Amino acid sequence: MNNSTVFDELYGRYKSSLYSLACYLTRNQKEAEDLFQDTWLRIAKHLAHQTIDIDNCKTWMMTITSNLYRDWLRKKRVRKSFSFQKSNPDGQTGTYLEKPMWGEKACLENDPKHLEVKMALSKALAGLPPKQRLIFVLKEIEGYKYSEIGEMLSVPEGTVKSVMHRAIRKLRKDLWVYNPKKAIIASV
Amino acid sequence: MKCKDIERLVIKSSGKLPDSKQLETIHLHVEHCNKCSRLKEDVESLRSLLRQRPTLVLPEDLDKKTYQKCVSEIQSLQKNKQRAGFGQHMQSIPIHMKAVFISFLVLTVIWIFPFFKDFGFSGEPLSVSTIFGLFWIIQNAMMLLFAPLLIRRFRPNKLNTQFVN
Repeated sequence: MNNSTVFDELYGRYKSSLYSLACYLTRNQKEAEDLFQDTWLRIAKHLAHQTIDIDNCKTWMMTITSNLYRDWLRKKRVRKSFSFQKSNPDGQTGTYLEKPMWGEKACLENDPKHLEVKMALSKALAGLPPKQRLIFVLKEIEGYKYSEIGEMLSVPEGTVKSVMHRAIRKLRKDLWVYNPKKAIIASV
Repeated sequence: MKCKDIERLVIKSSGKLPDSKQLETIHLHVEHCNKCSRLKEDVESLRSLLRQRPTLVLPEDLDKKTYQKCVSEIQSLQKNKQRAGFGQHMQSIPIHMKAVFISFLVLTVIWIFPFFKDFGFSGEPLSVSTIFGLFWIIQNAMMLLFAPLLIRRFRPNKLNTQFVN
């Protein structure tokens, strides 16, 4: 099979899932686009050197995205330490939230009461520390197992579990006001 | 089971139900433990909210831009591969090795001179030992002549790609 044909096949199959992963990780349209492009360019370069099993390469592609995201975070941290810019305007620990994932358009179709909860969840997700968000997204949104995430990120399974627990604890804490019983905070 | 174990099971299940034994354990525990029942509820509602998330549509311009960039990247890589490969597939033999081969060849040809007297100029038939000697020398000469060609190997082509579909 020709390189271009393989690329076409891969691009057609996985472009949407990689874009959504990039969006969930960066929480920023522009940065998600950059991450998406970098991922595909990396894949295109790999195509020339590697044997690729088209049917089973989603995990590999997700690993590339995750690694690029971690590189990008590292660079961002270095850049931040050398600049005198103020912290994010929304005061979140995560990246600057330009557009929440659940936009008004998507929420209006459903029950308007849920709009607030969905927006809050979107904000809570954005507020997760990057490492927790990465693992949470891979586990809950992409549906990978702990062991697979561990392999993808080259971290022990135990670390993945503990980070996941911390992420859920933080989300519960951030969303407790939206629970009708409003008693969750006591258990966190 | 302790609350910690139940918490681990509830979070681990990721929308899919654990096996029936575990499910029963969770149910039994949750009935009596308020804290774990709230955790289960929260995790379930969080997952249901995540399930309702809208599908993110890839912007058309980004889609086209990325595709074109990648295709041009692949094409340039292929061109570079072809350019790098042109005329260099065969690994050349170092000059000193060639000199050694040529000198051995000359020496082997020189060994043939003592046999000239037996070549039948006198009209006598060739002896068996002469025939074997000649054969051996010619074989060596041929081998030395073509040794550089035999030793030449195809470069280990790192850019060679195989696709499994």
